[in-house]
Amino acid sequence: MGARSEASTRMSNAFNLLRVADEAMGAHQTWMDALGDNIANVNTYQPTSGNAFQAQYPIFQADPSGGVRVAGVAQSDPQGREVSMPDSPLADADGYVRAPDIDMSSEMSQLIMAQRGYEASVDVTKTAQTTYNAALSIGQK
Amino acid sequence: MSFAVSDAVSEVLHTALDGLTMRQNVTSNNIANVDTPNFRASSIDFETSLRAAIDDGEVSDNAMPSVDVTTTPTDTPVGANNNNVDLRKEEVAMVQTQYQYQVLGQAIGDHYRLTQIATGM
Repeated sequence: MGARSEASTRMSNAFNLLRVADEAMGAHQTWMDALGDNIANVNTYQPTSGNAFQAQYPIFQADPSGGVRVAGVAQSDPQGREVSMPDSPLADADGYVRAPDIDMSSEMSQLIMAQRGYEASVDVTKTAQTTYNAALSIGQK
Repeated sequence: MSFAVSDAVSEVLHTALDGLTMRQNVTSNNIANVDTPNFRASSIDFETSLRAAIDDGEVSDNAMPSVDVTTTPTDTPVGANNNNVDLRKEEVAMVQTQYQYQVLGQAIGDHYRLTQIATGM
């Protein structure tokens, strides 16, 4: 195999590394966005006649062609927690409202994991760059 | 410049580079799936088979050695989410593979240039 065609085969694999990393960064970004929204709504109350605010979490699934993708969304319990807030305009006859089923410490530890997972794939994009450059140099005199 | 002839040395280098490329793909897939529930990390071994092919004299000009690239699930312990990706291990493997890739790429380039010089190109 000539030097140039060896190089171009290798360069195209660098694009695959980039695709896998990009997909993973996207999935982790979706996760961080969902967590941010959950955290922002930890004090969003609803009347007991309806559902509580439901936290959302992306469901990760391995992509058969390499990488990870978001296969769906899981939601927290629509029942939430009944909290006594008699002064709230949303309160029912007994003075209760529905609070979301969100545990702040769980959301925060997930946020740390999501960031870590995101950063790990950023490192892979850097590897894709050096692979591309290494492959490019194979074809050069 | 095209090469109609490929000697045993460049076959070995080419096979090794194929193996390293596969390893990069598998490692980046493991990293991408660090948070995927029920995921098991894999690893690649081509060196054992390539070394055996060289030792057994199976490598010849114009023929890729028949090398088994085995993909095995790793035995790192399973953590949260029933996932066994060890991020530290994968990141280090990525860096190491990258170094090997660059060295091998250099070797392939040098090999071509030596052949050019030898054949007066």
